[in-house]
Amino acid sequence: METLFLLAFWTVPIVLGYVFGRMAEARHYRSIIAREKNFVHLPATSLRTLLGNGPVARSELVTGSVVIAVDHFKKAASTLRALVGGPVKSYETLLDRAKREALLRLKESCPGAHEIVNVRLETMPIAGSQPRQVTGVEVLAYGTAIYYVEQSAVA
Amino acid sequence: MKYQAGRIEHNDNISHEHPLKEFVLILVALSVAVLLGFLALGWLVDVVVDRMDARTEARLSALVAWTPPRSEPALRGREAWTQALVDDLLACAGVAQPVTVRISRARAPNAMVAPGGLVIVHTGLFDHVQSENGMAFVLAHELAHMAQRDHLRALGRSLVLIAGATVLTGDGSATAGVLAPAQHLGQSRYSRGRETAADARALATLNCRYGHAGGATEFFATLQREQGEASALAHYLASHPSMAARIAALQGAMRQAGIGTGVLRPLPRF
Repeated sequence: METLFLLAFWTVPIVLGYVFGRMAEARHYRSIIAREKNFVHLPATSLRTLLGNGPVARSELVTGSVVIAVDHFKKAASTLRALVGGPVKSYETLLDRAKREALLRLKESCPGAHEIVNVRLETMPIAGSQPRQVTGVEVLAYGTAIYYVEQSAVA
Repeated sequence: MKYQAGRIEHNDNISHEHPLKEFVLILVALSVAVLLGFLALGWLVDVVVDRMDARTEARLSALVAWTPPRSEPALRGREAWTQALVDDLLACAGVAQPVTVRISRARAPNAMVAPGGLVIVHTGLFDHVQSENGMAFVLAHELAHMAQRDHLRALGRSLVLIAGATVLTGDGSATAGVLAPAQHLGQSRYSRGRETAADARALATLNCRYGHAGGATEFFATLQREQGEASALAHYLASHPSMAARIAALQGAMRQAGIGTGVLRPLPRF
């Protein structure tokens, strides 16, 4: 009986994490793909130089950040993976989503810009209440938004 | 240099396998590996316990033994009577070390051995036997566990389990907690094979002490009658062969060895 309780104690969060985590992930990917299509006209590069060559009217620091929770299924899968080693596949989609979402929010913060240069990404784990526990990840994207003098934007 | 904006058509940064595949694969492989490891180490424990000499056994028992408190005053009468019964059985049971009996107030009809020559008898057991011979069989069964060093086997297995859990998880924390009930399992239960062997040995002890094996099936017969109603017994019955099978096995063994039944000694009133 105690074993059953214990088993439920461990299984329920993992099953919940799997069901809702999968749903949230599918929904998030649909949103990411649709929004990336809308913003494909705004280049965001890691270059230190500009893509365009006209006179710059204005530039500003722009940031976009997102925090995504690690569900219990992903955590359990990574705990298992930690025992045998190898790529932690359950975290790959999590970080991929976070990076793309942060970049999208970066672009959405400056819809009138002509390009964003010097884009950098920072990833930070959000610690839980216990040592070594991770409850989520934050990805911060930052760069310099460039506004050209009109009619000389990037072709 | 011309910048070409593009959309991610095929995402190479993530694996496109179903997430459950990785999870189940590792879980099953690890479970099988752990089970095989546990079986192998359990076998190793058996080999070590079988080859251990009496002095090592005594030293090992002394390490884990604890001094039990005296039974409560109301139970002292039963304690003295049971102690005398056990002392009478020691030579026949082939147990060389002194054995201490303690009575514990509990309804579940149970008796158990602990390291250091300790036999704990539940008060509920007294209600489940009708004669001294019946009680002697249960005690002889426990002494057989002692002679077979079954408690050392159980101890060895739980040591293996705790050590394994600690090595696997790196510390005694969350994941090791999953294995906690299994540790308890290893401590309190012996395999069915050990139980059957202890039954056979107890039969011989009973015959040696009384000249017959009458009363041997008394306890099991009482349990069998109650089996339907009492759920408190479930935990006890689970690791033991079913009552009917045990009674049949005992009667078969008695016929085979030519051991008969005889006059039973009454159980004193407590």
